[in-house]
Amino acid sequence: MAVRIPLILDGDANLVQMSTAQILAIKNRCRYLYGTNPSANLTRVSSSGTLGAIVDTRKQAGAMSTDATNFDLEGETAEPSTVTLNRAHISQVTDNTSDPTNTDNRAFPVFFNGFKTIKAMSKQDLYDTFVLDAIDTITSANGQPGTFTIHTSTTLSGFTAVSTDFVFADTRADLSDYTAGGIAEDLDQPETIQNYFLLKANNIAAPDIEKMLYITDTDFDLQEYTNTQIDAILLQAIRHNAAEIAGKRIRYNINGSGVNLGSGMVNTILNGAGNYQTRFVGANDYRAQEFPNGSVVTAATFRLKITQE
Amino acid sequence: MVQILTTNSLDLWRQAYNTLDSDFRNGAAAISVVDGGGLGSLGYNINTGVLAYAGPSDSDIRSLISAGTGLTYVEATGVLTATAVTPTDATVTVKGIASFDSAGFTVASGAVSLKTGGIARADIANDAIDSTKLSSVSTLLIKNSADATLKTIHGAGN
Repeated sequence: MAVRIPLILDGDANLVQMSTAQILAIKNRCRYLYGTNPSANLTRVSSSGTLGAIVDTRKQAGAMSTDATNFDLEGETAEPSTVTLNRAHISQVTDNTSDPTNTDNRAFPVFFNGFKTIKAMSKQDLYDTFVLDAIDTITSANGQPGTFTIHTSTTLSGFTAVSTDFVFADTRADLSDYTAGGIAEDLDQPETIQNYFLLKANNIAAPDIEKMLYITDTDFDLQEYTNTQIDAILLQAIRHNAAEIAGKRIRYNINGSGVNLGSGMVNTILNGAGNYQTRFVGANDYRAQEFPNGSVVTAATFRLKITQE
Repeated sequence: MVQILTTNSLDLWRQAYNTLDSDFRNGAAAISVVDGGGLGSLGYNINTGVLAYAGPSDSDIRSLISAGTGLTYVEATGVLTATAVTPTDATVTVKGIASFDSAGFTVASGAVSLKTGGIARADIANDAIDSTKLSSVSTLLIKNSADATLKTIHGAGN
């Protein structure tokens, strides 16, 4: 780990070391550049998403029982059962990337290397000085440029929906649909409690940066990068680290390690043992059925997380 | 004491004199002078035995003198006079009168000195200065990320 202090020209064209604030601006520029073209992405898919299944469970009614002479007792009727839906709608996709090319070992910004020596950064210097800190920041909180989040609607300030289709839906038995007069009721009569959507954080404004210096091709003079030149280097560097460099790769998971992104996806369920109901339809037709009932409890909460691995 | 010369004595004296006179004459005849030329003259009188030297006259000497470039000469008086000289400015290829640009030089008592600040940047040839001419030279290296030195920059001062 070699963090360098890049050189710039001050107002009198003297060589000076960048201040901490100026270096921070470069790191923020890296975050901005990543936001323009992230290399670790999430997409909404209809099934088989690579982040795995997010489980939604709900209760459904037990099967109706009928008797020709009297109602089956509660103990004789089928209990409500659990319906399980595995929702796998989020896929992670990483780009194939490559390191920025350090042509002739002098493509990257220069720094004072001890006394009376100016030296070009190595590729690792470039990463250590700017990129890795930028990735640390990106993975430190929700809403960082180029990252994703979960929200209960498709609109959220600072974010843009990836899809209008949900990535998770919490459903429960709709008790209002179960009536004794309706026995035999359909077993599974759900209602959607909450949909959850995948959104992408909007980018930050491009931070202003000082113009760092590099060694020219022809006569080994020092020259200021244009923003276009340094942006190309920094973008390639952060994209490559985020996609492929072990330990610094940006990755997403559900309920693994890392920082929570947005809303937890809550799977709620009714916790009752069954609502025993009967219906006399006519001679020789005594019906009984147990409907879902109980209080709403949280069966599980699923969180989208961002981490480095 | 007075001695009386007799006839014989006179004869003897005359004889002796004649002998001496003959010897003298014979010796004088044996001397001659050769004047080798040039200015002045040397002569000899055989009768008197006198060697006489006459030095060069003024006219002899003046006649040998002539005026070269930039001079006039009057032989009668022997006066040489410098004629007016119109000097020529020196050029890269012609010797002549040189002067010094006051912006770059000072001259005092014939001594020419470089003026402080008298050498402008344009006067110095490209690539003429190396790091050995810098005061308290300081060096800055530019290296690539593989530690290869790509450029060395020297400057004066720490």
